Amino acid sequence: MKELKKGFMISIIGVLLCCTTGCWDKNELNQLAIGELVGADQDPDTGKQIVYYQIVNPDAVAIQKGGGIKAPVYTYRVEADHISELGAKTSNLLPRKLFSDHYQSEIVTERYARQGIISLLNFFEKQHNRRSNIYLFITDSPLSDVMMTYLPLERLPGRSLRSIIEIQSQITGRLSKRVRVKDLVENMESSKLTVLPMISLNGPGPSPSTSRYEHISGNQGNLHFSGGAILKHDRMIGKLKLDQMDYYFILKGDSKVFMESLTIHNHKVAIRAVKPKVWSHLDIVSGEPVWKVDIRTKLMIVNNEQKEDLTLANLDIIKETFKQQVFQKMNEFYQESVRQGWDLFGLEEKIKYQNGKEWDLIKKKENILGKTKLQLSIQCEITDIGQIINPYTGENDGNSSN
Amino acid sequence: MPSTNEIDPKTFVNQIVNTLQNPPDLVNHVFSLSPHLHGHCIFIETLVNRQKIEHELLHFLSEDSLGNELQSSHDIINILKYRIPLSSIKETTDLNHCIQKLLSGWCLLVIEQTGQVLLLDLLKAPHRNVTEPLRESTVQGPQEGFIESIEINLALLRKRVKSVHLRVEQFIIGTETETKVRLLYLEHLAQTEVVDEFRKRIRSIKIDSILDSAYIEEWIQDRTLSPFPTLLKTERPDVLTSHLLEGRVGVLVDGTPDALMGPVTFFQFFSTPDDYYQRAHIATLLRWLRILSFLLAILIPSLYIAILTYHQELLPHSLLINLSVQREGVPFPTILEAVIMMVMFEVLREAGLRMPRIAGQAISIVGALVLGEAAVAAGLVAASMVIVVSITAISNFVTPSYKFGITQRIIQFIYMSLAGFMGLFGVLCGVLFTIVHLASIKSFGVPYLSPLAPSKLKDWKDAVVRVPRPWLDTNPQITRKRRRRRV
Amino acid sequence: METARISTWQFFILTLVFLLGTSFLFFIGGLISIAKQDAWIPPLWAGIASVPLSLLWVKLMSYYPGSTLIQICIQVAGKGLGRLIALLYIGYFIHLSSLVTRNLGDFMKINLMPRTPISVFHVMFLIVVCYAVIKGIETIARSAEFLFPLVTVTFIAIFCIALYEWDWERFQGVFRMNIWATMKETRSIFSFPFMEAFLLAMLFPYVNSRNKIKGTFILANVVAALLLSVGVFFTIGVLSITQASHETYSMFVIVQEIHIGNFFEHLESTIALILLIIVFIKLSITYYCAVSGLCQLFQVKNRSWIAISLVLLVSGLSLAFDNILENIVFNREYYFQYMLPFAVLFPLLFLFVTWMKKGKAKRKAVSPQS
Repeated sequence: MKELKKGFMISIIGVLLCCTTGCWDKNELNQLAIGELVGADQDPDTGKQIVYYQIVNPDAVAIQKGGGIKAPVYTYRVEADHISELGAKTSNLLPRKLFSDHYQSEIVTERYARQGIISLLNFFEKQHNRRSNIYLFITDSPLSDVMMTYLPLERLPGRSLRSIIEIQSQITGRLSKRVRVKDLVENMESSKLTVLPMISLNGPGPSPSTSRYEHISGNQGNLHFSGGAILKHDRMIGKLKLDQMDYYFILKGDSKVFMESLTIHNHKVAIRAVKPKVWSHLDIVSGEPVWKVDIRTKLMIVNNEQKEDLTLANLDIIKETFKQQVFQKMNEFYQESVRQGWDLFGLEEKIKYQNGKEWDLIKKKENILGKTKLQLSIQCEITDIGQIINPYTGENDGNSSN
Repeated sequence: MPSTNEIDPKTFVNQIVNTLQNPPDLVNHVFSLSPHLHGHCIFIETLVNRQKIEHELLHFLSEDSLGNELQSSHDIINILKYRIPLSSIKETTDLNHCIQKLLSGWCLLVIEQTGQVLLLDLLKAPHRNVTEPLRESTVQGPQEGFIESIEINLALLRKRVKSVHLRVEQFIIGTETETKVRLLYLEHLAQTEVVDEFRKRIRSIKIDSILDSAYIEEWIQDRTLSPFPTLLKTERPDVLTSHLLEGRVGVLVDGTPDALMGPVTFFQFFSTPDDYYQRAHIATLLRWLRILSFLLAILIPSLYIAILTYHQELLPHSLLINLSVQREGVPFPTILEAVIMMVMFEVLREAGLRMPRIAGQAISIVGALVLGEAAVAAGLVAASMVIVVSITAISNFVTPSYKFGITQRIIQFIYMSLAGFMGLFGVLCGVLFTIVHLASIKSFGVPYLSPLAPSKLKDWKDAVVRVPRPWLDTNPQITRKRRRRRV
Repeated sequence: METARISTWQFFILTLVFLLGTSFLFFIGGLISIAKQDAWIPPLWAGIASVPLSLLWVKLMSYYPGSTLIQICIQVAGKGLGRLIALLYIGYFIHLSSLVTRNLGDFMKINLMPRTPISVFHVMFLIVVCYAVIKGIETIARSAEFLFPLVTVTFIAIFCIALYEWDWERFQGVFRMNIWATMKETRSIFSFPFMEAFLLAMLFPYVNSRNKIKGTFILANVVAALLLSVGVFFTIGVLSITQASHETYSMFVIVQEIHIGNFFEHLESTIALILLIIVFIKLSITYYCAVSGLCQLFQVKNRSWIAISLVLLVSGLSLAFDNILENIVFNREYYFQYMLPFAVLFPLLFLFVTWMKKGKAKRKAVSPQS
């Protein structure tokens, strides 16, 4: 009987409890506007914040129930005097609640990045449902064009950009996956620079209509990866060219692959370095700081246009050429970055944390970065030579003379 | 013989007939043992073995040699008692006792001049034959099941256990039904405290009728209000035997094929007799599968609701988009949609149980078509909801114990409402509440969650996994403090 | 007092989970913002310092086997003063419960359900806790034992998956802290969670084998210190100092960002909720101590009504802080001083009085003979 009473009490409390709790955070799926890509810009003259949201149109993206192609996303443009007003302004426009958890990528314009995006980052990081691991892009094309273009094949632009990063990091090594908001935030309080991918719009203008899906040219109005933007804290200070990106990432140790095209006896040989291992540390050589980088990698011959057979001697030549060329190009890249005063690899900070008397002397000097030399050592072995060993020479005679 | 207790045969017979208001199946046969000695043979013809009475008892009583012997003797009762070729014979003078026995299929012999009544057990109640247990079918293993007769059931058990330690204690419970309830245990294995507890609880039952072992169960279980059963039910003699051999106590009730066993722990509800008749690997894997489907059954609907209405970010991007297309235009909130579908399914299941078997097909067609396709096509529910309901329903049927399946259904609805109100936090609170509840239950002094909590590593070999027989060489510690090897 | 028995293993789990309960989830970020790269060291020295402290409590309790802290108060300090001190202790238990409750509410509100009123989390959770407390310490211990593997596996899984983000470079500049300054700054880690552990003295009488209490208790303290240190170390390696020191809940951010392939992403709400289980166990222990303390003080037989009515008190008290910042500041600035009398002064005083009494009794016992 007593137990009955107690159980009764508990169930009463339970029922009351269910009544007292409302459903404050409840959202039905069809009340949500699924945000997929967000672009931010700031007008340098008026200081107004301009944000573009791309909202998924689920009907068009989900499994097609017959019907033709519909618009996979809609872009909404919101303009506000200050970043904190964006939320209110957005709800003036959007008929559904903005669901920001699934943002795939974020784009910031170059002009905004050059002014500094700290307020954007702080605002973003304060949101409870933000993900600091979304990819951040800088664009040098007008944001209205970038956000208003339909991309073929991978029809959600945010995801399309995300795949670009993932594919690049696997195939060319010109990007690593560490180009997220998180990685920018991490360097916010250090002298290390962050490199983020830049994207640009192909062709004369955007393709803002779904009729573009019926057009064969994939390039037209498409977004493509065009280089790297260098940010110091929150501010963009320079650009990296596309062919400098892979040197940057490999020196940083983030690279998974690395492509290099060599010229041997006026013939092209293309090499892919697979999973290069990079060790680096600072040292002092005759009173000057030296950054020693040790790269070990396995090579794969992707293309060989030489007119001769692949022999062990030939392989050695390829290896040597590879070493020399990479060595030279990396040094060039490093010198270039030092000349620009870019501390791409956080060397200043590393020097700051070194212990010892000699280091204390160095720390007192000015322009430490400029005085730091790069000492590169590359070791490699060719492990994969492809399906054919000897290239077809195309000579008339069946017998190879040499 | 004390003369005070003696009865007057004539009035005694009249009393019996009057008490029972002379029902049509009451037979009062008058016979003579010798010319001067008459007797009444009273029985209820629908309950007794009439052939035996006529061919053996009455035939014997009318033998001349007996008559001669009786004539020359004064101690008629004793002679009869020892001469009648039947084994269960009692003598009494108590009217109520006689009536009781008469109603349980005994035959009364009231002999004039003696003042005593002889009671003979000639019960032959109708019962079905031993058949295979339909509700607990196994792929392999013995195919005998208990039936509604306690004697046959005990025989089935005795056939399997020939131990001198097997104890059978009988209780008569139910003021109207006077049902036989038998407590079974192996004296050297069962814990004395547990047996005492059983005895105490069975004695404390105050009820007019026992028609099934469920009546007993509700009286002797540990927690009246808990949805979790603390007694195991089985209609398989081999299961009962194996549990007795692990030191548990069994209860057989007359008139039902279901035997009760205790103490029982949570994880035993996930083991089936098949676990022991198959190879250990598959038994272990199947046991995990059952635990998984238990979790699926109680959690899937609530998780679906919680994720779709509170934590959409948990869904992979493309799934989110697909689901949001399906939800487009569905008029009800997800929670309501889920409750409607689940209640409809329960209705369908109940209908299926109660319908005559011939009409079952109609039900399934209507159920599948209306609930499945038409509801989705009409935009009443999202297609994903139908999938969720089906997964839940199928997982629910995996549980070996029907009683436990009911528990799952109750919990599942509670979790659903919690998920609807507070999302995953609500579900978490529900799950924690359930776990605390499970941890607080004891079945006859044994913690319900053992051997996991309190952890008895040695008992895991027949709870979390099922190790091969040769390693299964100890009895579970939970039932017996003193560890015993199985030998 | 309840007639309950908990095994040594259960006691170990209870102590460990009590120590890690809230600190593991809520404390790491603050620690990193103070001690930067070296933030993993303070938990270690706090753990070491907790050993003599634990010895003090165990010593005190060993003079009064079978009595809880509350009963000792009365036995040592007499009816009047002892009851007053006991009441103070109970007040602290209730306050601690409300702090833990608030931690949980803040966590839910900030991270998962920002629009829901915080009291709803408090009341819902407290009701479950209240049920556990009514069912007694054995039930709490068994639930903890049952849930412990689940939580452990979850933590290990998080660690393994998040290791993908690991970068040794985030540790550069380690071992360059100002030891005294950091120690002073991080004294709060000593008070929370290690000094709080004296609360477990309420459970000592229930432990099965008395002579193992000391070892188990100290082992749990050491393990907790190690795990806390590993947790901080891990957070630095995975999340970087900059991010970790700015986050309110660094552990949550780690969970937020783990993903298995591109398919399973954003798993935080599930995993974070599993992690809340350890908060549940901690809260059950503190709540149980408050309730059973009241029962012992006022000699109430049935815990139920006290437990149920405390739900209101605790959920009300937990609203004492307006926001999480106040809570953090309180923890950092005042908690050590606040804990000092309960964890150190009173036990020392009790021990001293006990020795005095013993000495007196001995002298008395000796003097008549001589």
